[in-house]
Amino acid sequence: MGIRSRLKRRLLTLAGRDQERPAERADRRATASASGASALPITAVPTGPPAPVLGTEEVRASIEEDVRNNPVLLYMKGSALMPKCGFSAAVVEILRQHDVSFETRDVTTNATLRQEIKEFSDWPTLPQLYIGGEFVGGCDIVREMNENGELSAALKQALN
Amino acid sequence: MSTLSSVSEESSGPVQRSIAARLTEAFAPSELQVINESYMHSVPPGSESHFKVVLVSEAFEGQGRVARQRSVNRALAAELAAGLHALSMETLTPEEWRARGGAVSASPRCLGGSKSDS
Repeated sequence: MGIRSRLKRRLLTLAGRDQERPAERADRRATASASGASALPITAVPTGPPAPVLGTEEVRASIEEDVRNNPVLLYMKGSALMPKCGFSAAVVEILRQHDVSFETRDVTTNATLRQEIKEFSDWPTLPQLYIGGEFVGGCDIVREMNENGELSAALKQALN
Repeated sequence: MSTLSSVSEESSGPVQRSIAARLTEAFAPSELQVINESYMHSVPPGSESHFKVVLVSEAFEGQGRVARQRSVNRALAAELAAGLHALSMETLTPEEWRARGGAVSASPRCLGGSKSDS
């Protein structure tokens, strides 16, 4: 597997989309094999070492790629459906009003990401919004830009 | 809710006073309000975890929003590291503050009985 696809996969893990631990995955596969649901003989079940804990450099690289690949990306506490913080919820609500598609990353599911995004953005608090690969700011700034029309302009430019 | 700087310090907590002191030193603000909004969040009564600051300073001239907030965050790095959880801020130049009428709405103390007059 190439470095890019590996990064991508780790990014998804980072983002909390794939919270299943490798051990659980292996267990399930083993069960499936034993019940005959899989063609693989049980001896062939790949167990392998557990996924390595992501280092600072890798997390940083994954953030860079994530920011580059997603025109509207919000680092927040919780998910868009279940924000865990009023400031994060406020930004989600504003983005929804603009009727644009956006991605969110939940920092509460990953301590390394939570720390690294603060360093990466040079911004000590969450949420953090990126538009068109550029750091926009937190809740105060997004609110202000929403009120004066700048947010709408930035979203249009990034999504065109 | 208690504000600091234009209001008495009696009801303020140690974190609130420390924030006000650092911002005063770093920005020589013409207007400073440090508002403890912790009561609006799910923290114990009397907490000093969530603050809002209104800061008017000439230091912000020529700076964008992100740069202004970064410089405030830097001035309060110790507090942020020590458990200040949320910091909402309005960072304005004196001109912007006047333009939005801040000077007028923030000056009820000048309507009469000013200490400097007595």
